[in-house]
Amino acid sequence: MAIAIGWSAGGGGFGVAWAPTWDLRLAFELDGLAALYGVLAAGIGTLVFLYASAYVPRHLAHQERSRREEARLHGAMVLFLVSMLGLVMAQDLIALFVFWDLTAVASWLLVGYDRHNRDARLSALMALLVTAVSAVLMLVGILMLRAEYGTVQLPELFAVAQESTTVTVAVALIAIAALAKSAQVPFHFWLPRAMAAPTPVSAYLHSAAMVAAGVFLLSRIHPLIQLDARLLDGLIVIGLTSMAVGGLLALGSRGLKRILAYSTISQYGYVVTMLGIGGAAGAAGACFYVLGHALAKSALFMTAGAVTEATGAKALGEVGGLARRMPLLAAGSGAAAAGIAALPLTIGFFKDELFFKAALDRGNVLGALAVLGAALTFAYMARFWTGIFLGAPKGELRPVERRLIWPVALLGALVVVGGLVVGPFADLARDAAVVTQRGAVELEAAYHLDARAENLMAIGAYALGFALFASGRLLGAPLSVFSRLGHDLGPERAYNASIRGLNRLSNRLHDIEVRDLRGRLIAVVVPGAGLVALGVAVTPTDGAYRTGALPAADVPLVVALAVCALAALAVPFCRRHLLIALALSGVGFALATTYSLMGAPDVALVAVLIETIFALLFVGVFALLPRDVLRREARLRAPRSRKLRDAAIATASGVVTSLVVWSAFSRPVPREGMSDRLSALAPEAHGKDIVTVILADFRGLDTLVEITVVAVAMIAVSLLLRGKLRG
Amino acid sequence: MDLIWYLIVSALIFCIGAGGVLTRRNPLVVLLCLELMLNAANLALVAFARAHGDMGGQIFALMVMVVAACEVAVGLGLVVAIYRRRLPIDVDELRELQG
Amino acid sequence: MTGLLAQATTKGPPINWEALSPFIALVAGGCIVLLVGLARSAFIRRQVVPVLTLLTLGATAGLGVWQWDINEGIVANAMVVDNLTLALTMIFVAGGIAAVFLSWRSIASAEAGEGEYYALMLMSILGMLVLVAANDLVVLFIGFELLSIPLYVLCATHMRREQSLESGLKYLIIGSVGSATLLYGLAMLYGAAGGTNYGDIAAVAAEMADDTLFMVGIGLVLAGLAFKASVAPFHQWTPDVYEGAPTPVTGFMAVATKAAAFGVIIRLFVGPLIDATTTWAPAFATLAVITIIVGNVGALGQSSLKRMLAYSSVAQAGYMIAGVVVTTQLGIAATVFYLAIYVVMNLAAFAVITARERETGLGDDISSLYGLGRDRPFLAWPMTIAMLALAGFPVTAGFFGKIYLINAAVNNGYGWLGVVIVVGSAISLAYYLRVVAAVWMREAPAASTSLSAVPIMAGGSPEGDEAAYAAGREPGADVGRVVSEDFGEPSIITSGPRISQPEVIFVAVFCALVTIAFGVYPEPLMDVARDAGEALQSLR
Repeated sequence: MAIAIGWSAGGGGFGVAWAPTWDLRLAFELDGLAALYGVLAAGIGTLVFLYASAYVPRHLAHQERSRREEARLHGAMVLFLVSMLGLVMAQDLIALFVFWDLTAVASWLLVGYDRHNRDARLSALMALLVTAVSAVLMLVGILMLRAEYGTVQLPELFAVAQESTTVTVAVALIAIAALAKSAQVPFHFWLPRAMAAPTPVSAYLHSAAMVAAGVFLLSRIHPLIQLDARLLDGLIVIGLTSMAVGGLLALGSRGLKRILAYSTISQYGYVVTMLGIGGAAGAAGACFYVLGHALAKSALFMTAGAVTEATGAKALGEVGGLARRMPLLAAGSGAAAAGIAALPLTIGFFKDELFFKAALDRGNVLGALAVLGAALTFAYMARFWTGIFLGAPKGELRPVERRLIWPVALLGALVVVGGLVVGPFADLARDAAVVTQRGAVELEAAYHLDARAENLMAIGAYALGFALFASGRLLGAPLSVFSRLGHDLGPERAYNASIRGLNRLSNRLHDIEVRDLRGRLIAVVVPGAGLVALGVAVTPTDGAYRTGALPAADVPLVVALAVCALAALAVPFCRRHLLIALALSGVGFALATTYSLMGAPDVALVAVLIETIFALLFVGVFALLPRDVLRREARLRAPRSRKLRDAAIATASGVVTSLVVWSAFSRPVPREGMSDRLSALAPEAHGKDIVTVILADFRGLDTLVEITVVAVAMIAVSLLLRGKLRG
Repeated sequence: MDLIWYLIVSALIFCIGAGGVLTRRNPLVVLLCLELMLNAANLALVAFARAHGDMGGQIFALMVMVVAACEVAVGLGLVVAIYRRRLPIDVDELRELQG
Repeated sequence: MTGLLAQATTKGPPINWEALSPFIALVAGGCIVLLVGLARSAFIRRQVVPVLTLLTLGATAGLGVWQWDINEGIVANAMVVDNLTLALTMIFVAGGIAAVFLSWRSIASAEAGEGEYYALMLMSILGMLVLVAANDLVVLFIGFELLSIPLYVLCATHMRREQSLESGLKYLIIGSVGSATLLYGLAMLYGAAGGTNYGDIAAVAAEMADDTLFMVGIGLVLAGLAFKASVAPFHQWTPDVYEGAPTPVTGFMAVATKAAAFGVIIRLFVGPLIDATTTWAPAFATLAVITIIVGNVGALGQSSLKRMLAYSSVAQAGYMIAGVVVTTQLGIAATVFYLAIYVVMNLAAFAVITARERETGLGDDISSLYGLGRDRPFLAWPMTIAMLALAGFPVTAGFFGKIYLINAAVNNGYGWLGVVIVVGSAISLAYYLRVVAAVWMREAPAASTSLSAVPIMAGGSPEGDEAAYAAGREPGADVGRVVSEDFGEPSIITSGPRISQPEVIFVAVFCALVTIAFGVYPEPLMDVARDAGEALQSLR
């Protein structure tokens, strides 16, 4: 109510700085568009809450669940309502995105409310994935706009945006998200599945709120969409397709809620078509259409819920002749069905009238298609209502609370009132259209008792629709073929296939996930070598690949290095562990000799010390280990394939490395002789030997940290070797 | 003697060490091979230090030696701890964690 | 070396003790904790030692705040203390504090000896600090080892569990291969530059940018660091080690090591190597793509929560690389921002896993979360928030983190990388939502059968563990694995008595609240991140 009052008071808005770093503002404004969708969300929300307060306890009782869970549904509904209101009022695309995703989360909680039911869980997940993944595209679009114009404030964007490829792509991405949310072809498949939700949820989300958010977004960014005519044409195509597909599927289904879900797809197809037609007529028609449809459709969903509660029937054919036994429900839902089918004296008549007018503006072909669509609507609505309320009575009738009936009657009454006193409704829609259009909009909704084109089209639609309805049995077979085809080849299959594919991919990845340590290491080392090889490949090779001279004075060094290399070479070919350890310490000692010959006596001394200690340590540990373990390895022969693999890797890496080393190291390196200068400084630092000085003074910090490392290692080893374990 | 000879030997040792880590099954030998890899880096460091006439490389090598010793010591500690629990000491059998 | 030379002539270089104070606090705290841990009294070991550790970490953070904005090189320019260092310090400390809370009653710390356990943790944090402050290759390497060695041991501290020891050894071996690679690369950088200080390297970076020696060095360093940051294909160790290590250690490792690795990557690559950007940026960008794909796809099929989070952390590393390759202050700020929220999101999740591990005996299997939504709101909500934040849903900090990164990428011509991030997040929805679904939409199977008689409290009290031993069983995640391997409904379930573990629940709830708070109003954290980004003045 507050929204209606606020809107009639002229709207208004407020904004607070949110994240100034990015120039984000939480700007909200209650303009005409926000008012329209806000009134729908809040008003229908109130009725749905009323309905749910009676429905949910029954629902829980059927499933033997605790009453306490009722709160969860209401909590999620409130979350949804709040985020919907935030969504319609947001003037900042990032804020809008935030609320957009919040509605998706709330819808996920609501659709998956029957959590013990696997189907409900999967449906909730499908709805969430389709809307959230498409929302990610929307985010990309928003960021593209931001990168282009440096702002995400809608008013500023409208002011500066020019036609360009970037804008077109960005807007197209946002539009895809919107279409997915409004369940338009080819993203329509999630909506029928989402009928696993409890009925109040469907009555709310899938008529007036969640799916309406998609067309709301299209209206909101319509000034940007208008920049490129291709986008508008795309909307027309998608809208008409959804209209046809939704209508045909609705005509061919039996499940009560399923019919309504397909009908929703089809009805929002009308709206998208009108948004695609654009212009004043299109904008006005779209806004009015959303209003009329939301009122009627939520009433019908509630009807379906009430019928199921009263008779247990969930599909046409399981129920009939309820008109006598539940007259109020029949009247209310009759009015609502008439509204959808666009009969005169309901608000629905005007929505179709505006639609026809907008379509005719665009050409006769579109006009003809519009009549066909309206005929389909008439046919499935007639089938739905007569199927439930006329014919022979079937089944037991259980008493139901009045709160399951009254909201339907109230909405039905509203639909009729809208057909008689159209003024306020038209005003609401016009103000919304003004926002969409960014200019004055005429919205003329009145009865004209003359033979103008719209009236003729309406009559044509009724006639054709009645013909379709009457020939229902004839149509049954082709329609079921159509729906099966849609199921087998349609996008739902693609969705399932991609989910399955993702699962299979992850399973396969899980299987080939490298298991053994060695495989893991190869997976680490080989890419590393690849990176290096890449680096070499792209480098100029001037002056590389040459060898230096070998003066006679260096012979001892060469010998030492050769010993080093030989000992190292022995490692891969040794099988006895002791020999390996010895070979390795051989490398260490040879290296130490090399260091001393290279003028690094301190390094050499430390090396000797450490090598000695380690040789002894290793030999000691070998002695500790059980013999059989060691022998087993000595005897083991790797499988041939493994050996080949290892050999191939070794050879390749060897070749790469030698090339790298050769090319990398064969350039002269400047000699600066800094050590002489350093040595000269040694006495000043109160040391006799340059290395001492460096360690204790110039490199004091490193030494300190290193001591910490040693301490840590000591703690670690003592911890690991503590004897108190029972082995 | 030209710098390149040291570096070629160093690269050779590094590769042999890496090869050893990749192909040996006994964690002790793997640890030895790791030390070999670090030693190779040391040789390169010392050689560069000599070429640049800069003591930094030597100091770096000294630090590395000590740190490498610590690492290997911790590794040995782990191996002994595993042995005490009578677990297989074969890197290919360390496959309890497979998800 | 030239810098050193200049200092040496003045005898006794001036040392900025204030700037060094966070380091000193950690060392001193580590020593005290180690000594107090020798006490015989169980009370002192079990309660006082963790409190002392917390005090140490608190002092470190406080000193860091005190030193905010100093931006100077200390100890003869071997380290730099600036806002980047300090911001990362806060992140390490946050990870450390949470890890202390999670370890409070864990078996791992009792088995290793509280003094040693917490001292090792503090030393590891010291190593991280040294690593990200390093301005010299030698300091870098030593810091790297000081960070790694305690972690190898911490992973193995749950010594009665085979997996723990195994993960320790695996981590050590693969980790050492990483260190050796890094070291060899550092040696080559040294060889090319002729000095170990970053200044020396920066001086030659521009002219050496296409020199083979330099490039090979960069490649090897990149591989070594990529290993630590678990960037694919160097991520192989991550799932195993995450799964095998005691959960508090995993949590610590997941957040703090990642932050340290990214800190040093920023410091080195966006620092002295900035003039060689054309050399390494393409490689890094490629790795980012591989990482995002491997991480996200790998996480899909996991039933162990810790493995799932391991792969998720791989994917998140991929996102963060995007902030590094763009080499702008905005990118660095985005990375730091993401690191900060990455810490809170993950810690919330790890806290819940720890709590359930102790209560259910299912280990970290996803089934341990069934039914949480119904009767454990204080565990269910943090887990939900953490997962939604990791997936990047709005109203959580994760949303801003991702936008920040994407924005940074788009702004500097890496739009395609932004798209990869977006696609990766879309895939990631599948596995994060699976966890949320497990929390809210599955019923806890009734307590039943064989094992429910004696509750298994992995990581619960030592007494409980003794009981489990007495019954001839292994405590901990081993039991969970049995369950995860049969594909039907888990049959061995103890929904378990509620163990009083307020500190774990506190961590979970607090982290979740922080996640939401920064998701609603991110400005304060953005300020900090921007300051950290501006510390690198050479950037745009």
